Amino acid sequence: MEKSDNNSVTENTDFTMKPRDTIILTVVLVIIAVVVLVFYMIKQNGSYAEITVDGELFGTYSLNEDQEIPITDSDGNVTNTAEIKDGKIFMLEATCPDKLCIKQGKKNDANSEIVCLPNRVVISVKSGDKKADYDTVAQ
Amino acid sequence: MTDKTQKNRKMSTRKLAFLGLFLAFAMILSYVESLIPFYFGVPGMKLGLPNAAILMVLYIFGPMEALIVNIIRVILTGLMFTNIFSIMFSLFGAIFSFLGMWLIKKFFKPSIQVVSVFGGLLHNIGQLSCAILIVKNYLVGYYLPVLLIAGFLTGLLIGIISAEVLKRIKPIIKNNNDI
Repeated sequence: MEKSDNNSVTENTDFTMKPRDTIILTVVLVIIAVVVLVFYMIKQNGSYAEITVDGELFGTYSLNEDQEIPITDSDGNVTNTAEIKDGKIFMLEATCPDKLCIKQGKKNDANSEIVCLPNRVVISVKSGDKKADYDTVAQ
Repeated sequence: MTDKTQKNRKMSTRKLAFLGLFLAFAMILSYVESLIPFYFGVPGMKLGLPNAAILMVLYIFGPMEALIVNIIRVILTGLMFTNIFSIMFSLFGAIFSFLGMWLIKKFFKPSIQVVSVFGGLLHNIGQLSCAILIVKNYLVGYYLPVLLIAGFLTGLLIGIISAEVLKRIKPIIKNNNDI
């Protein structure tokens, strides 16, 4: 009777780490280190910021000129305000409750992002100089 | 035969009570976690305290029980402290990490610390994938390195805590048949 109750107990009687577990953890750590290293190596400074709202392009802005950007949703209400200063972009104001997008701070690395999930706003910093200036005018 | 079914029913009542207890434990940990400021500029990063309770259920009772406790935990805490949007978001991370932990445990049979590390990693990867799906922007993957390191460390921490607790409570819950 007692054995049938304990059939799942037998495989792990004590909860200490075995040498095999340490090896697994080391391998995982090495894989993580490689991923981090690769990400670090492909990092570069961005030149313009692309803002999308709900997955659709809102506008692109050069990081070289200081400006304030009011970001509107599909109804035309201003949900977030981004600011570009000294080549870095950051979220100045937001209507979302948690303000996580503001806490994400200033960004200027290529492919870095500021995400405001409640308002579905994504600001992504991109490198290269293609069409950044034209779109600023169009906006 | 009747004696055996009676014994089983007695076990399942005990089990039900303990699962309720663990559910409450997981929900309290969810609440405690929301009180601790743990934010380093990366969305989706969490300490993963409730995972300790889920790990204990997984090791004491089994995968099905752990999955049920996990899902109910996410929905209940979501309804109490956040909104539907967050429930969907955390459900994705929770189920993703749970399936990962269960498969790792089933096929490699490592110690609970290793299982927990994979849980932490997969939770973060799951939430990141969910974020990518929602905002339809693949550059969210930029956060991957930070999330991986954080997932590893928090996972290890939670694993060590769970192991220490399990060492002490598992014999009590499993072998005490004369209640």
